[in-house]
Amino acid sequence: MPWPRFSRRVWTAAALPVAAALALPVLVVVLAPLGPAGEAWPHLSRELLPDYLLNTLRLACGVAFGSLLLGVIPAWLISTYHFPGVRVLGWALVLPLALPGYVIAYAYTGLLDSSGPVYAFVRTWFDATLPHLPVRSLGGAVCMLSLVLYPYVYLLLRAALLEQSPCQVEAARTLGCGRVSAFFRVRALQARPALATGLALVLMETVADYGTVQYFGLPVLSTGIFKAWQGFGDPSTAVRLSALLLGASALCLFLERYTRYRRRYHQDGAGPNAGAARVHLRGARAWLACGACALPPLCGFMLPCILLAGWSLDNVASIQRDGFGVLLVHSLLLAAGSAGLTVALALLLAYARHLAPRPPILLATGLARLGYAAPGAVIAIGVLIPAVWLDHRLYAWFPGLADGRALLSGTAGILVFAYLVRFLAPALQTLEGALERLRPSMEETARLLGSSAGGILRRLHLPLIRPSLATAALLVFVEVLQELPATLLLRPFDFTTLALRAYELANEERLVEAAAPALAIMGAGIPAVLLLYLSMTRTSWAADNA
Amino acid sequence: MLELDRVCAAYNRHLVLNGISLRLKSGSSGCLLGASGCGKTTLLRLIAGLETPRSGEIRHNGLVLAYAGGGIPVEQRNVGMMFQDYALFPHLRVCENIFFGAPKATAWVRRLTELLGIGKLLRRYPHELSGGQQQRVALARALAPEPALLLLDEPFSGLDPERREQLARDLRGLLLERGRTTTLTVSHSQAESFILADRVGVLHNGRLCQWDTPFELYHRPRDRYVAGFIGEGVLLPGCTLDACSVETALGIIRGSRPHGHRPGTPVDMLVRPDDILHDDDSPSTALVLGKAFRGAQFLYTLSLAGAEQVLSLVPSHHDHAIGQPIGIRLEIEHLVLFPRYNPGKPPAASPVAGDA
Repeated sequence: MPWPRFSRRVWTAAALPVAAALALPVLVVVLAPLGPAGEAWPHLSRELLPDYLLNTLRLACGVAFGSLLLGVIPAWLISTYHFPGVRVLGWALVLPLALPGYVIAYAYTGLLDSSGPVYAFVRTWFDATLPHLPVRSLGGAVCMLSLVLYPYVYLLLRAALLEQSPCQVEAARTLGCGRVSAFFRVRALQARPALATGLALVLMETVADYGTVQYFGLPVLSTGIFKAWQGFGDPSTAVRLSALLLGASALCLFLERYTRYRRRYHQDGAGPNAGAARVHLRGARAWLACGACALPPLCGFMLPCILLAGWSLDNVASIQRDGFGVLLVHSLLLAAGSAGLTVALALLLAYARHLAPRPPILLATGLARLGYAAPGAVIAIGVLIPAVWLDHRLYAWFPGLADGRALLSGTAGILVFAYLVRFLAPALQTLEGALERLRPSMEETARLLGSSAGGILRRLHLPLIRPSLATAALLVFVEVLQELPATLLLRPFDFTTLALRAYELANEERLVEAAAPALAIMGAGIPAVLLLYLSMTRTSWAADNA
Repeated sequence: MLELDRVCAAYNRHLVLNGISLRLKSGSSGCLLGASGCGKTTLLRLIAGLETPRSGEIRHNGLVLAYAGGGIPVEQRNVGMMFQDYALFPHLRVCENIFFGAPKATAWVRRLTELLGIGKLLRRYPHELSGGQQQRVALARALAPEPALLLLDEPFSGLDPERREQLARDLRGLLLERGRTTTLTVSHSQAESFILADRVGVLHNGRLCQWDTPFELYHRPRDRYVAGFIGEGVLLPGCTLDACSVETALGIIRGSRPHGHRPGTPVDMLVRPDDILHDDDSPSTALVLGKAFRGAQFLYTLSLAGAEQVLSLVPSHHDHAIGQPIGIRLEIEHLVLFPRYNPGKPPAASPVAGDA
């Protein structure tokens, strides 16, 4: 039986305005191109747009291939075989996810620069000169993004393989399949949706990336938006490009949702199973497997990490001089505040949806999560346009306010709002998943024992989904810390975060100084990444009882 | 008194329950039997208030609990329900689970934990308990708020047979001691229902075929489905001779009461294994076709003169080889006859029931 009308109405009434506000920026970007084109549009669409589209496509294809290569092989090896270091590698393989693409790009540029350590090493020891390595190119960007994004493929595939019951492979083998053919005919085929989901996430992150492509000077859609907004000073052209980028990203999101939807039906019966018997590899084959699994985290995490740490140590004096402490506090406060607010609103929406899964609330939560498909640059444009409009209105209504200061645009509030729009969806997804996983009979029992909707939230659901709340908050926290394009467009005057500082220093060719903020961003990301790994590969306490 | 009055339920357009009417006296215990997907769990959920009937009415002690499209909210019904998966709250200790709906440690709750033998488990978490212990905790939790009506969904399905019987007896004792609690159980095991219930109903395709005492269900099934679902037996084709007798491959059998069919009607007669006794001195014999050892008894499959077969329960010291003729004697007092099923005409259309 549905919940009493009163509690449904209260929750719906609270959730609808929140969802509407969060959907606004994306709707602005979707609808604004219907208006008249700006001055820069004809030139840009004729001269630059084909390049933007082609390069974005090339980048996406390259990164898709690269992350499949780097993600699938270790996932297959680790879930089928036992070899030295298999346990450590299991989680080490997800570490590169803690690095934003631009950080690894700075690190490798510094490493492979003609004045960098690699060239120096070759010159001193082999007395030879390496040919010029074109790091700052499309190929370089493909490598960088593949190195930090492959963990999505690895993680989802690994989790899907863990979920499978070993009985299925055993059944296949009693039916006459060899070990390898059983893997491909039974396990790999079942894991296809997970693979597609991982790939879709990789593609979304790729088209959304700004830091890497900007640093490498690549003309793609996300850099084009900045060029139109800041270079040409033409908001309407920026909005059109944003709409295009949103479309590309929405396509990936659609693929992700579609495969995830299909995946739900693949999970019945087989419980997570870490104890599936793995075949022991020995000798050269064992070391080969170990090497194949160690290479991605070495290149994607260890190497940049060591490099950044070395640069930071070289540079301790300037770090202190630059007010690094203030920077750190700013960033952490901003990230923590945004994370708390995001999770609170996500809980409101998820619970409203849980109590009254009716068309209005379903539509509203669907719209509110649109922001997930929108790259940071798109969100920033979608937030700025209404904010600037509203500022103008406010000046017109209250002329006394017009002392030259922006009221909405250019405040920390608007930045937090942009983060909310951008990162609500993952938080909402986490909480909805947690609520869905709870057995309905538990809630029904609580109702039979006389609990109201609020009582069930407090006594049953909140304690049960507490781990998911923490996960959601941590994910948002790290995302905010790493976010670059929206922060860049929306930051208040004279306000800097770790990501912005790293970006500014790198663009002034002060890579060594950029290392410290980059390292801090990365350090904050590691616990989140490990938590993600644990939640996906181990039966968590709540899921165990679901 | 729990009363269901022509209750119908549907998922989307799919009719799951069709015109269920039954009455259960306060303090007594009922059981709904049926194959999986017959709608029995849906019926329980309707009474609990977790689903809403499409039409009909559910009353308890004169109070209307549910009507077409509405009813008293679940949390105000004072109905206890134990789910098939127990649905214990994993984050709460056993005692916190039990006190979820009954915040005070009353004498009744103490007696409950004592009777169910879970007094020593109160500080533990559900995942630290065995299946049987979890089940007892779930039962205690459902009973702690002293519900007037207790609903049990397959209460013993997850347990091994020995634990099952013991729990069924404990539960029966507990309910007898309390006296006022009306209990309705859903089960697919007739043995369980016969232990637990004063009244048993057989659900089939969303209809209640029969709502009766276990004895009546076994000995006077109202239709072929109930006859087949409850107990073992075969249907022997025959033809009525007069108001009380029928002619079958077993010969002419006279019942003690009129069977209600016109003379000369082709019928099928229900013959239970306990209707056919083994008697070495009997002049009539049948061939042993197959036998199943049941410990105290053999269940023999016997072939009669024609192609007809019957079952017979025989004390297990009468061990006869397959193919041997053995003497049989009939002990049928009450004739259970069904009009002959005509293969040319499909049976009366019944609403389709889905998984409930």
